[in-house]
Amino acid sequence: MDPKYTNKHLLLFIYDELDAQEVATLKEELKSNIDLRLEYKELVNSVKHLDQLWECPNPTTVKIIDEKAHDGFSEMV
Amino acid sequence: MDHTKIVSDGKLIQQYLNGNESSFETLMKRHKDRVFTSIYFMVNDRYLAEDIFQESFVKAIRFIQSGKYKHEDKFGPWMTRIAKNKAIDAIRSRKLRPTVTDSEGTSIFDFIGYEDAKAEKGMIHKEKVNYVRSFVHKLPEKQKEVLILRHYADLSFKEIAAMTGSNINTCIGRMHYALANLRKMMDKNIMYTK
Repeated sequence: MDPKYTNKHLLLFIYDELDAQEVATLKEELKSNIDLRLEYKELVNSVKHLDQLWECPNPTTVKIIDEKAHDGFSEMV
Repeated sequence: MDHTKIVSDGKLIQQYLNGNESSFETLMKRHKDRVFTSIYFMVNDRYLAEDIFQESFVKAIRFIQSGKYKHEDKFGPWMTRIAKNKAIDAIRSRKLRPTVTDSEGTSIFDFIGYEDAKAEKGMIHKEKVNYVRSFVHKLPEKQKEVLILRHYADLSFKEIAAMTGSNINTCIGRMHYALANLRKMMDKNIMYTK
């Protein structure tokens, strides 16, 4: 991998934490640097697997919390 | 007019305090999956995660109502901190075993170790997802912590560093190792080799 760009840069890029200017230069580098692009793809692939694991709370739990928020609201005003 | 403009968390809390009941609902909808998924990964038990999720939000409501909330648009990190502390308390007090239930109340370990190649045929998506989940739980604790906080709780690496008392480069390094380890586990698993 190009020592100018490390896994740190790739992760910051994937999670949208890289400076705008660095994003532009990294994108350019990804076009030409095969090793870097391969590493990037591997990281993105792993991250995509994580996206399968999102969970939602039970709607009943959400409703109870909403009610608590409204109850307290009545007491406030 | 931009109808897609998002009202900030701080503004929603202010609106709620000013009497707009639906503002808290909006705030919770925005954060509920992040908070819940993070809790679920921490305690690895669907039913306990529901309890902790509810307790955490009720605690947040009471605190906001008291007028002491001063975190403005840092509601996400603040809420995550409350949930994380409650999850740690629950783990300590109940001495949780590292197994329990998936989203439908089934033990995820029903699937672990089941690597018979013949089983590959007919495997459904849910089982594959359970494998990935079990891989996350097998990660070293500090790697798993950063992965949960960055990917699910949506905290920045800087916020994670502040929350965990580590430096930012350490957090990024742990995230990288976590993803690399997940990749290795998937490569070794028959379901991911094709």
